[in-house]
Amino acid sequence: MRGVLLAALCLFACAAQGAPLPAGTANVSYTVWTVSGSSVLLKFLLPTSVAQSLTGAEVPVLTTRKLGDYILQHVEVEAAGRPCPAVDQGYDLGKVDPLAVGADMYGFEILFRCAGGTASGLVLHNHAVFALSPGHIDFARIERDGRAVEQLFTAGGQRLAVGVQMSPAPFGSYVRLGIMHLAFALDRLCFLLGSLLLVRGRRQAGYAFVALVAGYAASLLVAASGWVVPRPALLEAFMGFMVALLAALITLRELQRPRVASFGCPVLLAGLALVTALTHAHWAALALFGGAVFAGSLLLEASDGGRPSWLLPLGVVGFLDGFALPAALAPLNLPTRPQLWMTVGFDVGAVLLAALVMSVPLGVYAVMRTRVSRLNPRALVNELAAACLGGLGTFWLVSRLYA
Amino acid sequence: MNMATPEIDAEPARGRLAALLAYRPQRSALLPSIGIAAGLLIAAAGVFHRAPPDRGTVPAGYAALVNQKGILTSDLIAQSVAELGKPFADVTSAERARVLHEMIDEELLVQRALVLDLPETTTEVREAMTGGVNAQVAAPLLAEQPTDEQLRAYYDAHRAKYTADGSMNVRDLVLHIGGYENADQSMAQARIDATEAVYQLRSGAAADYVMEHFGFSDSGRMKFGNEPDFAAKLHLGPTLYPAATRLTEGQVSDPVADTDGLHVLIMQQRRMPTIADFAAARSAVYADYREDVAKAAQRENVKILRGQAQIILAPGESE
Repeated sequence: MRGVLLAALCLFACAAQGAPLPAGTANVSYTVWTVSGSSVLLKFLLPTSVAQSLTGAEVPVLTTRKLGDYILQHVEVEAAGRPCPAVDQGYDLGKVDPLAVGADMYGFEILFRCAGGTASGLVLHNHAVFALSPGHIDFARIERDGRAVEQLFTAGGQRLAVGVQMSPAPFGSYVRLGIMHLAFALDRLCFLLGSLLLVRGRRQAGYAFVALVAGYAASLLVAASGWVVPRPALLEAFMGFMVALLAALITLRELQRPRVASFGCPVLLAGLALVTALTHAHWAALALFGGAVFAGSLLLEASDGGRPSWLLPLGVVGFLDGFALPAALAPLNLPTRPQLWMTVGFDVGAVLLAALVMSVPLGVYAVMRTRVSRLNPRALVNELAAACLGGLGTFWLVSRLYA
Repeated sequence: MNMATPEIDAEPARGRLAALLAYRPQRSALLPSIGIAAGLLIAAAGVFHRAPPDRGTVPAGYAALVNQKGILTSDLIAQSVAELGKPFADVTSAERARVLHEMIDEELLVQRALVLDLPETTTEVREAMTGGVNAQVAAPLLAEQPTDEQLRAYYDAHRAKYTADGSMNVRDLVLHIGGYENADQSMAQARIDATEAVYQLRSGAAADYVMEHFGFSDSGRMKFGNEPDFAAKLHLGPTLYPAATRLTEGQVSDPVADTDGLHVLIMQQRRMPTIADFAAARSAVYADYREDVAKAAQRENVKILRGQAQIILAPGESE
């Protein structure tokens, strides 16, 4: 019965696939508000993917200038209850100055002048993108008198009051962000739900959750050190691989010939790595080759049964997902301390939702098992769930790898 | 590892294969664990990369870091020497600090200019950049001093460039056709009159007499008297100037038809263009040679750039 429930949830998650972005945090923008005397200088950074998603909406983003005009229409500054107009920056620039910020980003600068100064009643407004994408997040950095704080603009909070004593966004807002991130990340949800099919009893469920938390904790340590940063596209592709690997693990338990899965899965991955290497995507090929070795060894180990190796993918997924926020924050070049603070909050939120996602189906199963104890079409359900997860995982892996 | 032998003796081939695939030897977790760790490490090498170094200290050879971009000590030395006009050993620490301050300001402005995308938006910056690239491309070739043989060969190939301009003082008489005073005169009649006038002029008749007798007037094109050839060319126009260049001092041209009538040119004074010899023109030859070398290098560079570039023209456009 538990299998039926989980398969239904997996199928529901699969059916909901269609979100334009692989993870919730990819739908972000960045603003830096520099308050100085009577002026506020806004630097707006918009990832190309988000700008392109605007194109399909009502906003006709045909050129950088039009995108700049769109931004100008959706940001405001007011001081002491009076609006601060955007200043014409001379030459033929107009009020929006386009910036050169790299190929994967659009950048604009707008200067607001507050006639009465910015000492009191300074309020920043950002309404860009939210109407078109309610899940959009704007990471804001507000600089004033040599101090800087990090804030968030969300669909529910498009207005920020800035006092003389600036305060950063509360810890809870990042917890909420982590929850939202996981709630809209279908690959993660599929993985978490699918992993429950491997759980045998309450104790193992606890182990699974601990493995996930350990993964998040490890990523926090690595991210805080600043030694390595992820390649976002490959990280998301690897997340797809983990879903497919989970499907192989589930299948392995049902197979009479586990060697087929133990060798088939890594051989397929090695083939994909070879094809990828031929396309000169060397880092992707390396990741796939590593994935093949990992999958082969893990499946071989898991085929024996009784060993806790099945917990490892949970740790890996936690580790990879722990880099979601640091990767999203990279364009802001934040100092280590505030970034760590934000990431801790984000990870706590993700872990809380993961706990909910993992515990609710198990709880419902526990309740239902007492009532319909004879219904347990386990093998069929596992096969169905594994097929869904395998298909989706492979789709995510390949589509993100060659995006 | 403890390996067990599968029992496959009495089974048919299909059954043996099935048994082989289902075979689970008892083995230690060591090898799979090593495989798992190695796989994860290899995958991590692909998925992650080293973070760009965030330097907190200035590396050796640099005087400062401005937004992680270095200002070389050698540049500071060169700038100090150029700006203060004295050897670096004599530069005081205060002067050195001032120069470094200026260089940091300059670096900040350059970085700001790049963020504002000035190379794409500002004409002056684009001109400076194209000039800089052209100069850089030409520099290695210009560093090589040309030999006299090379210069002489260049001079021989471009001898016309080293011609000293001549001058002329030519009197331009015009016989207007179809004017109010001679409304019935045809072109043929005018040509007969002009030919007769030329004959008389060549026979020694005075120009004023001929003008009065045949109805010629001064065209006014050569009112400044003796003029350099380029000025005479400008004033006489493309029809009369070639005829004038064929005349020597004292000669009279045949009648030449132009838009305003028939012209007769009387060359009063003529200094023919002269070709400067190599020794006299050497400095000009040297400058022209270097200019041509630089232009050739720049053309070659643009040719390479075009070969590497993807240029797509809009329909109807051409270059």
